[in-house]
Amino acid sequence: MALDIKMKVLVVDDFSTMRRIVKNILKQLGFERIEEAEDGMQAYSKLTGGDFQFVVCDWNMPNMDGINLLRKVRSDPALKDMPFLMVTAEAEKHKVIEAIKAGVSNYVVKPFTAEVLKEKMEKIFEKTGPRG
Amino acid sequence: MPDDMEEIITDFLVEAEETIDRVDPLLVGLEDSGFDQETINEIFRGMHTIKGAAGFLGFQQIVDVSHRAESILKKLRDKEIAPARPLLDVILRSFDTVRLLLKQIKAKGHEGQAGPDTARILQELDAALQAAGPLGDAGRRKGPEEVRVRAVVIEGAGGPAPESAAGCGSDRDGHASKASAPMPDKGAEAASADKKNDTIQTLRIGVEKVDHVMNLTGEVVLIRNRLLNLAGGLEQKYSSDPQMESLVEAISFLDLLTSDMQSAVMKMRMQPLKKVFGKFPRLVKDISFSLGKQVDLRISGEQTEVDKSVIENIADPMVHIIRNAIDHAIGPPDERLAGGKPAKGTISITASQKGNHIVIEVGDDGKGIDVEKVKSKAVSKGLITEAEALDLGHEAAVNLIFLPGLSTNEVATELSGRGVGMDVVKSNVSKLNGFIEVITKKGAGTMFRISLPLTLAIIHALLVEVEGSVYAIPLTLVDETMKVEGAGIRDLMDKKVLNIRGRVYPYFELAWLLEGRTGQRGGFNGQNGQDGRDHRYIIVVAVADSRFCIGVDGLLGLQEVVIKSITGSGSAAPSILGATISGDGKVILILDLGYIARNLFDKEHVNT
Repeated sequence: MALDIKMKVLVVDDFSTMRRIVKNILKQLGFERIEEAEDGMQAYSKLTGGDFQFVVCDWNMPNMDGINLLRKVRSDPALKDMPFLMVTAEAEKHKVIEAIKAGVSNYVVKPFTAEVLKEKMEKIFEKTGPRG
Repeated sequence: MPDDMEEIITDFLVEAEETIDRVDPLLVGLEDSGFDQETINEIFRGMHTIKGAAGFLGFQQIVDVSHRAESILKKLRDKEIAPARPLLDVILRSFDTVRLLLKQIKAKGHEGQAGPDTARILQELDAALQAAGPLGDAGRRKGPEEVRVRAVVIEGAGGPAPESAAGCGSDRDGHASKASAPMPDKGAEAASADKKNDTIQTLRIGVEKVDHVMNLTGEVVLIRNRLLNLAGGLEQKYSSDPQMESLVEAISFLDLLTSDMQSAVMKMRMQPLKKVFGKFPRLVKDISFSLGKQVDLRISGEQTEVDKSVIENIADPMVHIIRNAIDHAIGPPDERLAGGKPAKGTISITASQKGNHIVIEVGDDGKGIDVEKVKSKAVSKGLITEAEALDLGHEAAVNLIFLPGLSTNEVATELSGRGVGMDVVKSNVSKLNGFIEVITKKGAGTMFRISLPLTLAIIHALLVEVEGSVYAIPLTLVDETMKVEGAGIRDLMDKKVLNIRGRVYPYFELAWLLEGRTGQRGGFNGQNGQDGRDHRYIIVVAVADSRFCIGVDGLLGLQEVVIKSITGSGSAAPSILGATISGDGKVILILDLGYIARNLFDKEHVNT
């Protein structure tokens, strides 16, 4: 199934270079409506305000980290079904399980290529179906 | 796409360096803070982030080094290993390696064979981790698992994501089936609008772009000066014309706006001194440790903002002063105790803005400069004669330390005192149009005070005339101006001097200073002034500790001038700082009084 490249994507990472890299990869896949947030707090306020259909989020961030953003999103009735891809370098089992328990849609280990990201996104949207 | 990549890499280099600069002092302070967990976490996060981005960009060496440093930090954070100094030291060294790697990428665009020896630091990091004692049994149990998982990550760095990642989707089928609800309602939008405004928006812009705006602003300033000049002339001619008033009004608005624009652009280039000061805790720690001394570093005013060029050029001189202070001024603990001082020495660094100057002070509570020793050293090195040494006042004698080739320490140590040093400090500060003063008291300590102008591109200048040509003198160096009768300039032992309120100043003719100083240095002597006038305009100049008078034909007024460097045929005379364009469209040379003063007085020390 083809991805809907018109969907609005939020990239969350505290390191601006990382945000650019992820944005770049998303652009390679054809996405154009991409916004950024520096940490979980900012991401949450953007998510509650905008019609985002997908979140790519780093794990380690100041103020509010990825896992806490995920929990907050899942506990918000308006956002609880938001497709949420966690970017992590910590492929440790207990951490992944923590993310799965918190309801992550999928996760991707960095560094990743455009193909890997596409694959992950397709997996997520296969299950949830087209949105918006 | 390649262009994009280049930009991303540039961003990465800047951001990674900033990150290291930020966490480096945190790591240095870790011991004193009792290994605060939140601080460790912040350092960990910094390395983690660098590693992540480096992985994407294919900088494998950075990934390797930062990964190992990160692993140690993680174990420290999770209290799996006991905090120990060797661990911190090796992590600090890994920061240095990453810095070197970043520099190499900056220079060559890639990591390479010729770069820093990462194999060694990797080994050191591994060894440090192995040597680190576990913190209780719980930590020990977790150990092996960590190692295994780390291997997976490294594998993943090269190719596609590890298999376990792909399998994740099926793990949570249960969740996924529920996921297809409507999007958030619009009500929440208004609520978050306020929050959105709170977030600080930052834009990363290349320095060259800011500099371009700066240059354009400079051009606008020049045009404004011309317009002001023209309008002034027209106003006298057509004072009855009603349109004249509107023109003058419009131009005075332009005047105000350009001033605002200037300071706005200037602010774009300003950065907090923290960028420089942040490196000092580590420096002080390293040096004092290697010399077996105890030093407490106190920093204040690090939020003071200065021009980017100051940030780039002030670090080296300050490092030198700090090294000297620890190496020479602050004695070993037992020696200090014997002298009735606390065993731990103090170096305090302060920065503040005073008018349109930035003042940076580096003080220590050490031995103070031994003036007699400095004098005899200068004599023995042939820098001054014995007779001169006797005549030198305290201030002038202290300033001998800035002469090239003078070092008061008998034995050149690894750290300082290789004979190059304070003179380089002084010339670096002069390059920034600043000056340095030394206040020292034997037994009590020494303070170096560096004063720098806020901006380097636009200066307030005094326009003077000599032999029909107009020159600009940076106003920051002018103490006062006055008109004197020719008879006021006296001969004193073959030198022209001027007595101002009881103080005697050396006197030079500007024309003589500019002509390579041939002929009579005093030029004017009251009887044969060029046009028979019997008076002279005098500028009292203060460059660092030296004060002297310059005689000119006329003072034309003050102007804000934009310094344009002179390029093209031949090189500009060294006594010329640059050029600017006056209100009436003429090119005016700006004098480099710093150079002139150095040349004047350094030569005298040697020649007379």
